[in-house]
Amino acid sequence: MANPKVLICDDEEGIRESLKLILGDHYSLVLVDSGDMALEVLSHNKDIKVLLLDIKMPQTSGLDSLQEIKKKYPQLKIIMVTGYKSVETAAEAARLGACGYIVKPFKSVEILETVKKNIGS
Amino acid sequence: MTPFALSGLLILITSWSLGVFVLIKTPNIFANRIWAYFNFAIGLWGLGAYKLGSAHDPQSALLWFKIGHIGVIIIPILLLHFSHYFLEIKNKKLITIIYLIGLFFLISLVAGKLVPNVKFMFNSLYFGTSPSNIYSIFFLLWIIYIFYTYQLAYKKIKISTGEKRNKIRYFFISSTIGYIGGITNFLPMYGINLYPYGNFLVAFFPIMMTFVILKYNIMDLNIIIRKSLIYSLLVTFITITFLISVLVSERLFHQVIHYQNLTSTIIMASLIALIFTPLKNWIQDLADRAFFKATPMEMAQQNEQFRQEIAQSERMKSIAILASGMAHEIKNPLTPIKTFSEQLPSRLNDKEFLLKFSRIINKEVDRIDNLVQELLSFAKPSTPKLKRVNIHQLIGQTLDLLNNEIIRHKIRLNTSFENKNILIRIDPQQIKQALLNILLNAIEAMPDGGSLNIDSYFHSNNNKLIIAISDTGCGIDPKDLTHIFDPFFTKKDHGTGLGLSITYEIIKNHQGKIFAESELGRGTAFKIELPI
Repeated sequence: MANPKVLICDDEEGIRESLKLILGDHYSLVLVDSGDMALEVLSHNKDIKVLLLDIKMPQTSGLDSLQEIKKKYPQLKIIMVTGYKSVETAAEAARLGACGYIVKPFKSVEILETVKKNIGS
Repeated sequence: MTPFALSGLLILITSWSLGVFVLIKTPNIFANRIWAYFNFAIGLWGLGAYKLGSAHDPQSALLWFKIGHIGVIIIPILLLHFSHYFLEIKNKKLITIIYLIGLFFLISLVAGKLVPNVKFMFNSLYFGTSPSNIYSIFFLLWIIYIFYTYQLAYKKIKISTGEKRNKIRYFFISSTIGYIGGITNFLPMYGINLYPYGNFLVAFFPIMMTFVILKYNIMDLNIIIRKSLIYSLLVTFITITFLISVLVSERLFHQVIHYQNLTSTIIMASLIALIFTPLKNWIQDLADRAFFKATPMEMAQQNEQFRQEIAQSERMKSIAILASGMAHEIKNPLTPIKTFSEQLPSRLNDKEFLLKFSRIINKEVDRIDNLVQELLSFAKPSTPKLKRVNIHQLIGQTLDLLNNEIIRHKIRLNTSFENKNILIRIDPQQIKQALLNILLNAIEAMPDGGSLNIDSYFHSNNNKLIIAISDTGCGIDPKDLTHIFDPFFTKKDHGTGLGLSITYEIIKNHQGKIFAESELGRGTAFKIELPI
C-alpha cells in the first residue's frame, strides 16, 4: 500500500528539508514554498491527507492561506508550524480550522506523532 | 441678532475651533479625523442657523437652511461612525450603508426635495416649512440612528463594569442632551410652534463630547483636547463678551453722546487684547480644575508622568515586536540545525545527507551570524557622531556603492539637488547606512527596471533639508505600510526586516523624521527630514 501523502508548505529550505528528513521514510511528501503553490498542488492531488503549513511567509501569510485552503478543502487536516507561539495566533488558527500547532524548533518525534494522529483520525 | 442666530454662532465657534485643533494636531489618526469632521458637521449647522436666524429675505434664508442641513445630514452618520470606534465595535458594512443613505439625502437636499420653503415664524425669523415625505423619512432615520447609537452604548454598559461603565454612561448622557437640543429644531417644521431654544444645547454638545473623550482617556487626544477645550471656551467667552459689550456700548453711546460705532468697537477690541492672556490662564486653571481636578502645576506634573508612561509603553511595544521577530528569525535556522543533529547518528554513512547537512547548517549559521550583526547595528546607533558633511556628496558616494546593481536592474537614476554644497551636521556612516537601506529596497522593488528619483530641497522655513527618494517599483500594500519601520517586518523572501527599522532609528537619533508613501503597482516614496 502506498504511503499516505503529506504536503509541506514553508518558504525556508531548511525547514522543508528538516520535515523531509523526519517524515520522508513514512509518507509520500510534496514540498512547496508558498500558500499559492500549496493551493495549486492541492488542486491536482486530491489524495493529500495532511498539510504542514508555516505561519509566517513573505507573500500570503500562513493564516490567510489556511483560511483559503480550508474553504476549498474542508476535510484536509492542516497543522500550523510557527517560530513564535502566541495565544492569539493559536486561537485564530484553531478558529480557522487548523487541527494542530507545532512550535519551532520541533522534535522529530513530535512531528511524527502529530502527523500520525491526524492521518489516522 | 435673534437668539436662534446667536445659538448658531456659538455652535459654529465651539465646534469648528475644536475640529480645527484636532485636525491640525493629529491629522493621521483616523478616529480623531472622524471626530474632527463630526465637529465640522455640527459647525456647518451652526453656520446655517446663524445665517438663517439673521436672514432678511426668504431666498437667502432657504439657501442657508439648506447649507445648514448638509451638516444635519452628516452629524448622526459621523456620530455613529465615531461611536463604533468609541465603543470598540466593528461593522464596516453598516457604516458604508449609512454613508450611502447620507449621500442620497444630500443629493435630495441639493435638488430641493427635502425642504422646499421657508416661512416667517416667531415674529423674528424665517424657518423651514412644508417638509417633504423624503424629509420625514430622513427625520425618522435621524432618530433611528440616535436610538441605534444608544442601543450600542446600552449593550456596552450592560457588559462593562466600573470606570468603563461610567465613561459610556457619560457618553450616553452628553449625546442625549445634544440630541434633545437638536430635535427642537425639527419641531417648528411640523407645526409645533416652539422657539428652537434647544439649539443652544447643541452648542455645548462638542464640549460635552470633549469632556467624555477626556474621561475616556484616549491617550493621544487627551492633551490636545485639553488645549482645544480651553481655547474654544476662551473664544466663546470673548465673543459673547465682545458682542454684549458692543451692543451695550452702542445703546449707551447712542443715547448719551454722539454715536460712533467704530470707536466703541476699537475700545472693546483693545480691552480684549489686554485681558486675553490673563483670561486664558484663568480659563485654563478653571478647566483644569473642572475636568482634571488639579492645579496647573499638578497638571504639568501629570503630563510629564503621562509622557514618560507613553514613552515606556512605546519601548515595551518595541521590545515585544523585537522579541517576536527574534523568535521567528532565530528559531527558523535553529530548526534544521536541531533536526539534522538529531538525525546525524543514524545517518553517518548517508553521503547525500552529510553533504546536505553541511550545506544547510552552514547557511543557517551564516544567517544567525548576519542577524546578530544587524541586531547590533539596530541596537548601536544611539548617539550619532556628528560632523559637518556635504550631504549631497554622501548621497553620491552611497549611489556609487550601488552602481552595479542599478545598471544590472536597468534602472534610470534621476537626481536633483538644491544647493549642492550645503554642509549639515550628521554622522556620515550612519546616514549612509540609512540611505543604503532605502535605496536597496527601491532597487529590489524594480527587478525589471524603472526610475529611481532622489531630490533634495529645503523646508519652507529653511531649517530642514528634505531628501525625497522615490521608485516606480511594485509598491507596498496599504495594510503593510504602517509596519515597514517595525523591526523584523518583511515581505521579502530573504530579508531580516531590520533595514528600515535601522534607518528609522538613525534618522530619529539625528532629530530628523522619515515618512513613507506607497501605492501598489505604482511605487514607493520616502521623505527624510534632517535638521540643518
